[in-house]
Amino acid sequence: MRPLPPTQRPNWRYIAAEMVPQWCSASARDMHYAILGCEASLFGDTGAATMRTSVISCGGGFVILRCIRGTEDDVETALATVTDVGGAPVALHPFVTSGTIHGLKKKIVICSLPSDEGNCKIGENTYRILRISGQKVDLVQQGIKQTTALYLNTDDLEDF
Amino acid sequence: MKTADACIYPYPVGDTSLRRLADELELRGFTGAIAVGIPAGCTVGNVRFLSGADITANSVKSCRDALRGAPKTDVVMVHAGDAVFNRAILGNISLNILRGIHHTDRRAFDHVSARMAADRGVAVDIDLSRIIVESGSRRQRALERYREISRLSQKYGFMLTISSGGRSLVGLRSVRAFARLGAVAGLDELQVCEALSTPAALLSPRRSVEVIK
Repeated sequence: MRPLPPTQRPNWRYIAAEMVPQWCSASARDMHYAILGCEASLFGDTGAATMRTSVISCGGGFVILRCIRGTEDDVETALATVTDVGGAPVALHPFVTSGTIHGLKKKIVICSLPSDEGNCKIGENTYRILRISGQKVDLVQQGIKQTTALYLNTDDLEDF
Repeated sequence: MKTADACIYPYPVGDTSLRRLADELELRGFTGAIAVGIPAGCTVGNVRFLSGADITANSVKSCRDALRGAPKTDVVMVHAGDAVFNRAILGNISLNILRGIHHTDRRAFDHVSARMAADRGVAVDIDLSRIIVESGSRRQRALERYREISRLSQKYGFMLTISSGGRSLVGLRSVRAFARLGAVAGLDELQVCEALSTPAALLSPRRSVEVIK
């Protein structure tokens, strides 16, 4: 089968979004379904189908999405309504849009992954300490049903 | 404080410390925020925090009692109720922001309340967490109410504020997301810009010119 000529191919736009918290280990599949659900909820199935959003990659604290040109604003609005992915609380902050993945990756600054620094006890709860870049520290408590977290700074950790 | 989130809840109400929130708010393009449960007049890094009292009451008397019992704050925010309650608090209580308008029915905030809010310099809050968290009929109802508030604001000139209502790092949104969600709620770009700068304007309300001899 002959490939489609460039003029007949869809014009894609690629969006990079930052994941908060950075240590969220959501799979691309879960992310795809979460975003599609939010789009359908906000704009209806027709609107979601027009955007043709798909997740290209997900990991390292970033998500790269693909959508049809002209629907970037709507996709960004839908991304703002994402609150959880696969049962874990996540926020997505889109920060750059480009016509090529190459152009997009030039603007992504890879941060160091969170480092595990043991445990600490606050009250009766034991938290795992994850040191994020800069002074940011996340205290994560892995429960049976859900994960709870405290988002602090190194100064706050000393106060505790 | 050109861009401010009108309501956030730091630790211990939420799960994120004030310093961490300041880092995150700066990263997302904010220069200030109204935080509930912090001491008045607090600046962390480049982010200025105003302390806010979040009051839920069902009568003017209980609202006044709650205000008397609350520690001194920069901004007083009262949750809206029915039409009678809204008019009563707008007329009798010195509040800055009327919150929770999405819970009320269509007639709770009408042209009379709008005019009173405009005269007394009271802002009405657009809580984006209702659009973010809710779905289905509840979100539709919130959007409907916000569109009505936007129309009334354009007609009568009362101030608007936009808040994320974030109790966590995950609940915060960027200025860009505020503009996008504001558009969904029926606010144009100018209204969003004005709403983001309203918390600063609340601290220095417009008054008539005084002649000092």
